[in-house]
Amino acid sequence: MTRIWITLGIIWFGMVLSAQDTGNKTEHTVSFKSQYIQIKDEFNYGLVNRGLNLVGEYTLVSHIDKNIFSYQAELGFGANYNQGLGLIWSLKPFDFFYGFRINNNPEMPIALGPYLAGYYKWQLYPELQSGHMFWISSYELGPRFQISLPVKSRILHVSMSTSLASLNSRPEPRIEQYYYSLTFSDFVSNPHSNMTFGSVNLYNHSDLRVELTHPEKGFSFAYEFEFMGYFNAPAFRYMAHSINLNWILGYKKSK
Amino acid sequence: MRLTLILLISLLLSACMKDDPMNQAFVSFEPKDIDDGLIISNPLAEGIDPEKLTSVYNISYNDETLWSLRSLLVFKNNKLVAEAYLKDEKDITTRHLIWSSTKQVMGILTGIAVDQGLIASINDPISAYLPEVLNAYSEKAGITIEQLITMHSGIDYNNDGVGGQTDKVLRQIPDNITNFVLARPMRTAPGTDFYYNDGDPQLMSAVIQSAAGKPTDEWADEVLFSKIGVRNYNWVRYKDGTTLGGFGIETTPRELAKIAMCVADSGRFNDQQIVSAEWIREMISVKVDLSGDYKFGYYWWYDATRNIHFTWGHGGQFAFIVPDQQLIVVMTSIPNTQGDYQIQADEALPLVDHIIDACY
Repeated sequence: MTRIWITLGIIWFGMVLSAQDTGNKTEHTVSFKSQYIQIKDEFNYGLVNRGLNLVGEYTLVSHIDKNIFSYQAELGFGANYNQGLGLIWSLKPFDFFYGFRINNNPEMPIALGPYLAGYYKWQLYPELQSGHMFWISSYELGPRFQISLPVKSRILHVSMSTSLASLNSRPEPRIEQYYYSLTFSDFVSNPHSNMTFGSVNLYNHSDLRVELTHPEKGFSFAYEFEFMGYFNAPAFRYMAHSINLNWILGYKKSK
Repeated sequence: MRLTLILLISLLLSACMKDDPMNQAFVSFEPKDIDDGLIISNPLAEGIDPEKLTSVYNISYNDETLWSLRSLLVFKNNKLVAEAYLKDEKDITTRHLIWSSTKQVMGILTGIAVDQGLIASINDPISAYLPEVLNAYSEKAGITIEQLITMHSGIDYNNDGVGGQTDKVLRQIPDNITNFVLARPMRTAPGTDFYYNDGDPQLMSAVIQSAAGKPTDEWADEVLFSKIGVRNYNWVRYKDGTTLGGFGIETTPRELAKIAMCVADSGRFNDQQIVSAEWIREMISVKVDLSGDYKFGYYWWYDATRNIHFTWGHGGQFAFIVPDQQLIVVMTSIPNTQGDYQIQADEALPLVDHIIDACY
């Protein structure tokens, strides 16, 4: 696992540096997402817990010639409810995307390329499951499609992605137990255990983001829809509707 | 384009997931013969109105306050006449936690230990069996066995919340569970008042373990479980090897029923006296006349208004004994629920009332 992290780090630094060396535009954006979430975990008796998740997200976008490289990370906390309170934490440590420009229309650029992302989602249901922790973690790979459309004086950005292959960790089918399975080290060790490789028949994570920007303003709004499903036992479904507020921290043009 | 986008977003916004049904559809309460030693009968043969019993099961499947109910079994005249597993048919043989219903088993075992002379008298101080008490916890040397089994030790052991002692045990923080309980401060002098907690039965397990010379669960298998046909169970030990006493048994509703049947039959099971009738009589009689609806014996609960003795485990694990009707009702529930989400005796007993009403 350490090797994977080191490799991803080297890739990231390499891509950021090469992007900046080419003298193309790099943007840093901070987003605040307010999400309405629905979680259905087979471990939680088939209940759908609904609630609010607040997420902070950082995005780096570099335009390399006509192509796009982006890196994203996010951290979220939330609570949901159904026959008892649920608490959730989520972490996306990395989301790399390299988009190849597939048209020559400067008014409506379209990019398509692969993305590689990692997600961790922890759940705790203190009223229904005492001190037992559930989680799903995934490293996923798939295509992402981006298009920008002029709408009067604004630009509408639409981004869609779906995972095609993934490595996932879910808890083992759990036998009820007296002793709690929750210690601090479990937050780190459990989500890296029992990793299973699969394709869309095992896991799918799809995301649609629609963002309206104004070229002369440093902030924008976006709507995002996200679905995450793990289809083997213990099955897991996650659905989120987000309203995002995005602040562009600055533009950089080197050379 | 704009219309397409609006339609798409509207469609996505309306996307939502639905709960799975909490219970299976109710089909029948006819018991299955799985060759586990239980005698199978039917309501009519044992004097229960089948239609009224059906309506009881309909309530159990549909009453929102009973959403976490996992099983409902009815025994009349020592025969299983009705059973249903609301969540999963496999629960007929799948072990689940019975939490504090373990305490009532500790009550029976204390009696067997007395019957066998392993414990000379329930008036003995625990220091007679746990020498470390004299050495390190002298203020607790005078606590008696009877005070342990009536929750009168006076030890300040808190079951509840994140800061409670049971929480630390469930996280396996203490190295030695007996010393962990003994090291707690005293809240009152021994014998002063009733204080329901997991520490007292945990010390009782340590006493039995010391007296029997083997872990309580191992000894219990020899003197109780093997004799009443309870084979589908596990009794969890703490990491230091001590059998848990305040909770710790994992078993099935059918196996829990056998324990209740032994108590209901004055300590007999299949014509064999497992524990003396004198002890059973003492164990289920009122030793602590609590102000509420329920009284307390030697770890056994008693509803004086209804004349029902019962085990009571966290989350809603019950075995009700109704001596007037030769009736036993077992209910088990999703066990790790907290607060309002667990089935309390107040919610379970009305269902027993309905079953009593169905008896001729």
